[in-house]
Amino acid sequence: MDDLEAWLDEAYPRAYRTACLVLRSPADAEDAVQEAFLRVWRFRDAIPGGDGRRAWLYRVVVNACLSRLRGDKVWRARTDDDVLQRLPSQSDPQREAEDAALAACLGDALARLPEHLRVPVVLRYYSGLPEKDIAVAIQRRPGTVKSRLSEARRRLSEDPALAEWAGLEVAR
Amino acid sequence: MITDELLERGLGEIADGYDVPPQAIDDILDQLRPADAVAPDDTDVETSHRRWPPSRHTWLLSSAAAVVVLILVAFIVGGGHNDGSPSAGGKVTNTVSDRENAAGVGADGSVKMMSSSPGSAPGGGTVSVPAAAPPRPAVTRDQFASGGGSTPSVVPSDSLTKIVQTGSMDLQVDKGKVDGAVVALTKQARVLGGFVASSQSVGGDEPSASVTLRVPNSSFPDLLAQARGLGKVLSVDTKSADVTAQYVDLQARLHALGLTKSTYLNILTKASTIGEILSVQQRVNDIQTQIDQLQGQLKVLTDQTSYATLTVSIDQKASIKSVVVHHQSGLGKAVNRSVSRFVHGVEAIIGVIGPIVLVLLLVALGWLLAKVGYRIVRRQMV
Repeated sequence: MDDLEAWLDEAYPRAYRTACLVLRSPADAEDAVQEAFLRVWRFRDAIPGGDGRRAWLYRVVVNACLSRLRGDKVWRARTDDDVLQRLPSQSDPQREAEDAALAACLGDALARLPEHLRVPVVLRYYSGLPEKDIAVAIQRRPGTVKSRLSEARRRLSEDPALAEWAGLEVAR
Repeated sequence: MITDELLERGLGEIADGYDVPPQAIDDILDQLRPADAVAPDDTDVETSHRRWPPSRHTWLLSSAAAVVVLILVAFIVGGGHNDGSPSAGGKVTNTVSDRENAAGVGADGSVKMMSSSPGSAPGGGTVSVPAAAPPRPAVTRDQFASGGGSTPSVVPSDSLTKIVQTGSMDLQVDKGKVDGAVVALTKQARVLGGFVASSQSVGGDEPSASVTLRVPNSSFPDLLAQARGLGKVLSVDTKSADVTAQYVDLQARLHALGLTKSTYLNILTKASTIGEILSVQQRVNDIQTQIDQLQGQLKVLTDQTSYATLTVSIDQKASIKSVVVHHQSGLGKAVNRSVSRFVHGVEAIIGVIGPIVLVLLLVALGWLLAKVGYRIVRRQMV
């Protein structure tokens, strides 16, 4: 039981921020992760061992987020996200400004992605889950995850907010 | 195309903007701990959190119990029917062989061709007989067992009951007495108020004959008794079929058609145009055709229920020249009995396998449903 507590304690920050990225609401994310962790505790006998444990945890977190998302329709409603104002300050002013601009553009572009593409992107590029674990988390086949990630990247590249960033990357 | 690095950087930047609430995880863990504090021991915790969803074993046991209950209910409901009752089927078959009377019927119910004549089968040995009289399955032996003219098991209980009685008999007469037996049977049928429906004779070294006799139903047992007296009876097969329902149905349909016909005739008298007359007349003709058909069927049925039919096949003893007589020792009998019981055992096992397979299939189905249900519940809960 102590192991489980320690594991949850360790996993909480990233799970919380993943939920934040999906829900774009710290309060909702906190509730969703709390609900997810309670479910994990309740079904702790079903937690798989080894590498599958993290995927399973994110599956529960994503399900909690999606339940909240589909129930409240919070994503589309939130346009006054204040996350950019709360970005931590960095030592390099130019880098800080660049990251802030990227975050703002990506946030807007992400907001325009449909839910079924947004969640894999967050799990892949923030939570760092491999495709097979994302497949477990969203309960789809790895091939589906792959195609969704590809489609998400394509849409993000074509998004007007990120087009400039995509061009910059190519130029570099 | 946007790169993975850019996405990771951007998402990390956005995520970093969200401050992790410092007390949130502690609050969650605090919510979890009281469950352990309240629980007296680990076993109780396990029990409490296992109440729902139930464990896989619980699902399996519940499904198995449900299947067993269903099977029991099916057996109980199905056990209420007695298909073997003569009254239920309305049809009874009586097959008896004189050999059965002498030596009994084998356990498998088949009629053995065994001669009781000391001359032909010394020592009461078994005689194999050519296909002159094929064995028939014995159903009941309570009738005709004494050789007398006892009535069939199905007897009209009242005047409305309509019974069709038929029978066949294999008769063996002394050499040169086949024709005499045919004559005697014909005469006997006429005495009983019946007639000869058909008769066939084959001459030559081994003459034989086949006579189909029709006598009033009430005289059928007498005819059987008389036929028995003409020679050695190799086998007797009688059948009784209750056709009361069919008879009543035909009568009802005839009555209804008669009423309909009367109605149309009434309409016909009121018809004014040629078209109307032709149309109604056509209907009347159709109904009349149906009435004729039903009346024909009723007539046939009446004839069948009024007169019983007995077909007698007559052979003479010379026809069993080629019989092979072999004595069977006690050891041989024991071997035969053993083989017979072995076959019966196999039959019994096969008979039991069917329900077992059914039960296994149902259990497998229940297990599958429980598994799917368990997964669905788990998916919904998680």
